Amino acid sequence: MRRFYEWIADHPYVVIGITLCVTAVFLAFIPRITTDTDFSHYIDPNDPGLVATRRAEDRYGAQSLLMVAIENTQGIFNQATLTKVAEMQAAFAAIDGVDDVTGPLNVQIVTGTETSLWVGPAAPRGTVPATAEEMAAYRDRLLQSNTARGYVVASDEQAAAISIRLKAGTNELAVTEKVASVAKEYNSSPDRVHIIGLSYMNVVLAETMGKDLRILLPLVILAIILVLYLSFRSVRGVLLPLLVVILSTGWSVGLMGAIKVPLTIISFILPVILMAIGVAYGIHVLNRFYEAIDSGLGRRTAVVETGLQMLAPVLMAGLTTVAGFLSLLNSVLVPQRDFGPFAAIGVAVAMVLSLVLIPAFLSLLRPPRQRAHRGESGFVNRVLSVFGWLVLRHRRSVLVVSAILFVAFLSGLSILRIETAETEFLGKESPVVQAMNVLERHFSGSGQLMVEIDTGVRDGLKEPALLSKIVELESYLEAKGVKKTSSLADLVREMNQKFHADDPSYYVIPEDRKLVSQLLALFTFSGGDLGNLTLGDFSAGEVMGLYPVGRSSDQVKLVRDVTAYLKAHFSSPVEAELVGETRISASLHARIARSQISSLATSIAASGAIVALLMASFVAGLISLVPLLLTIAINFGVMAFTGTPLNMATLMVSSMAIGMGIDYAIHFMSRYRREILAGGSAEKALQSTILTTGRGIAFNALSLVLGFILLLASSFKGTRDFGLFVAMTMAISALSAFTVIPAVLITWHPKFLTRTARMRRKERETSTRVE
Amino acid sequence: MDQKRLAVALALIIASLAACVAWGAAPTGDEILVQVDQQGEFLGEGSLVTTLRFETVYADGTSSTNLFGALGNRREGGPEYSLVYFLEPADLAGTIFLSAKKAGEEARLWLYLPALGLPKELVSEEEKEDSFAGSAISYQDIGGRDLAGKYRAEIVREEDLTVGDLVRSVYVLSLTARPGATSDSALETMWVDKEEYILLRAESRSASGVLERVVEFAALGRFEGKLTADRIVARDFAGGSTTTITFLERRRPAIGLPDGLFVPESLATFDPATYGLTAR
Repeated sequence: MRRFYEWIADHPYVVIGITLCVTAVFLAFIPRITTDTDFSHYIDPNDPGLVATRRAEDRYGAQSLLMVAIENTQGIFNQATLTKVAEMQAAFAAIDGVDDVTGPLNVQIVTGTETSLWVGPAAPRGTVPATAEEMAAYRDRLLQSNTARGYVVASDEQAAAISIRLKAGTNELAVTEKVASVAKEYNSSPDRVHIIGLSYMNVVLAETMGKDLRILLPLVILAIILVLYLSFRSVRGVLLPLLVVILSTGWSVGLMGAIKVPLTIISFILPVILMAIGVAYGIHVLNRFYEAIDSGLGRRTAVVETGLQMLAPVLMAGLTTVAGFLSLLNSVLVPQRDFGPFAAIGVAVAMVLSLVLIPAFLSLLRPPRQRAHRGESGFVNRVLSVFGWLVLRHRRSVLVVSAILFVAFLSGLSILRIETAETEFLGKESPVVQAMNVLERHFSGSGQLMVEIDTGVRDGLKEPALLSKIVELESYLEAKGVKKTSSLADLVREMNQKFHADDPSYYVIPEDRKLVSQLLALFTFSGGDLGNLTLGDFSAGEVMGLYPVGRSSDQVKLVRDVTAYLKAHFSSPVEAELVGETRISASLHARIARSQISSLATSIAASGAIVALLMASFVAGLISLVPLLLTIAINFGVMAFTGTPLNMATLMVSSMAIGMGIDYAIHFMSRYRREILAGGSAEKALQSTILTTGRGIAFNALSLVLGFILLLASSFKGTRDFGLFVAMTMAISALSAFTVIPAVLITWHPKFLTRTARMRRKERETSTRVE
Repeated sequence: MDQKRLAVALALIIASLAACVAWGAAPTGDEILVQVDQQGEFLGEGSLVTTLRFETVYADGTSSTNLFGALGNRREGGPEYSLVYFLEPADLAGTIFLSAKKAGEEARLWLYLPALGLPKELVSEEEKEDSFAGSAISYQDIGGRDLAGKYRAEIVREEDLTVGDLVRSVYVLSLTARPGATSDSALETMWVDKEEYILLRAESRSASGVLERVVEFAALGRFEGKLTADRIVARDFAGGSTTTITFLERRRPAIGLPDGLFVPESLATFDPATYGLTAR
């Protein structure tokens, strides 16, 4: 490797030129980067719940709606609010791509009398009632209708909903943006207008991601500049590591564009994270270079020695971080699986460029004046010295306190929650979540539960016995907390009642199959839309339910119970299966815990193995894991005790903490061993390590903590939690490296610290004997 | 589609059998539209019995078939009657829609469900432009759309159009909605037979030019010497369904249909076999 670094020192322009050429290639692909905010794409396409849901979408159409809700806590039955509703309905209907708009004014209501069936819009001519009497009659008609109440008007009269159906093949996002633009115009007190639907969530997420990046990227760059300046107090000390992280981020993001991997709500923070993480390698390399210059070496020699001495620790630190990110490949969430490799690539590039490009630049630049670079920050040295003193005087106490902390925080694991819902990631203040809360407050809830009933034969759903079973299923669902259900059975019962002069005693499934068929024909010929209640040939259909969304664990229980019910009550040839978001969410929830354990185990094992391999010591690998285990325990404990759940983003914290946190242990142990091998006592080695490498670790940790804490400026709660907990784990990992690692090393004096020295001594003895 | 439209639509199908009005000098686009409207609104005098099959393939890949018998009756200055009787499928057989329209009045519609043996009048506040019997075809597609009132038309070109085995000379019209008119589509293109002013094909597009629906005659025939559709195919690109309407039989009954047939009270005793209507 010496020849390699000598070559770099002699050919810096070649290194810089090659780097710039490769960078240009990757930068060219950045404009091609796309975003994917669709949560349904975030799940393994082979997930059984997702497969069943996709099949249902193919058969019945979209499983989610675009809806606009108007909330007025003083009631919606007034001229002003309903005029807004009427104007919005007309405006939505005029948008190209909108197929049908149904709201409280134009919803079709069927009224039965002895001699006739009346079919028409809830409001006469679909217009706002003009007089108080007309308003009262309209209100009664709407609230008494099973098809209107709970769908287009809330039972509490404080909200109305306009349902928008898009034409097949329409650009959903474009239409949704137009809908949002119209809705915004009418959002004025006392009426609050909210938009609900997956396409709207995608629009909001795409906008928010862009806004976040525009804020976070400059912030993280400023933070890095600040840390680098504090650390080196020189232009080169700031610019060289900064250049490395900008290039590595460009390479990684450019690669995403080249192979068409979109940015997701997880990976959009990749540039921010890579900058925060990647700067560490540059800090350590520069730190060592200045040490070499301080020791009186010339520029070329200092470059070569720096490269040689930093190769192993930077390689170890980089590879363990890469391993931590690659462990995300075990995740059940596609965004994490996409994020992991590209973060790993970015880290690897930062590692390589720190070891190659920085030495190349240093070979060109005039050597710094001795000691001028350090800024002589006495405060930092004093703080670091305190750690040295603490370990030397109270190493057993350090170990005991660490053990107590480990056990105490680990005990929180039992109450740690997993939440897979989008709302948990988005946060309460998100317009998407606020809109969903309108459904929770005034309608039947924002959770959608769907059961597909497939008879496999034409007109199979028209069998009265099966329809009665569906009615029983709906009763069961309601007993389980589902507030509103709808099915073909409901429709048949309603039409039967209407045809019998609205007599409630006829709200039953007729025993005659022909009558069922004729009532359904009556409904469709009356302009009724069967939607996803049934396929065109009545061989299969869906039972839909709305429920208030609580915790993910409640969803899992609901899915488990309903699945058991379906299995017990529907048998071949009739197949009944849960489909839709509730099943997907429950399936994810169950798999996430396993995936988390698997990710953690992988990253712990990989990191320990890398350290063991590169330090040629199994014990070294084990010791490097000690502070990590403490960090993970504290991370989970704090999350549990503060009620922060594991969500799409915070799930990654532990794996990342391992990959990045172990770096401190590596740098510390490498330097400590070098000091021991150089013949120093434990006390001297510790003091020297803590004031040299410890300084690098401190600034490295500071840059990471600052970089990740900036994520608190994100609009997403999940990202904010992620930033906060990664920052916390980085701080704990660094503190552990200053305390737990030296306490272990000094207490047990593991053999790997002196093995190389003993081997060299043996070799010398052998050669002496030969002579 | 509501029941009123169903009945009117079927009456118009019947009417289309006899629709044929000669036109003299080279017309303008708007004049052609007037003529097409007249064709659509023209109800052949006397009684007519028709059997039609609706075959719909839905967006979900499933399909359904309905067989109807339709009886129509009209006398000069008198009321217009139509009765639609479901022949197939078996569980809908016997279901009847009855429409009666007296001069100057709105049409009234009754529904008879054989499983209950009760006729009910269906009252609809306003007409809609929904699909016909859940198919890809709408009332407007079949006829009687007041095209001249809703659209301005320009002749784009003249060309030959192949319909089944026949090649017909057609006017290709480009229609744009009249200001203030409630039009069904922002843009329409129509192919109108030059000789008999029958609408042979129509394309509906959204304001941005996206094709939403195509209705075309797939086979032509003659009834009482007039050009008529033997088969119509309608594709609804927005909903994803396709409907094929096949006219299986058109005939004049030997004796005119009595008005007493077209009253709600007689629906329970209506015997399709009397009029030669049988399932196939």
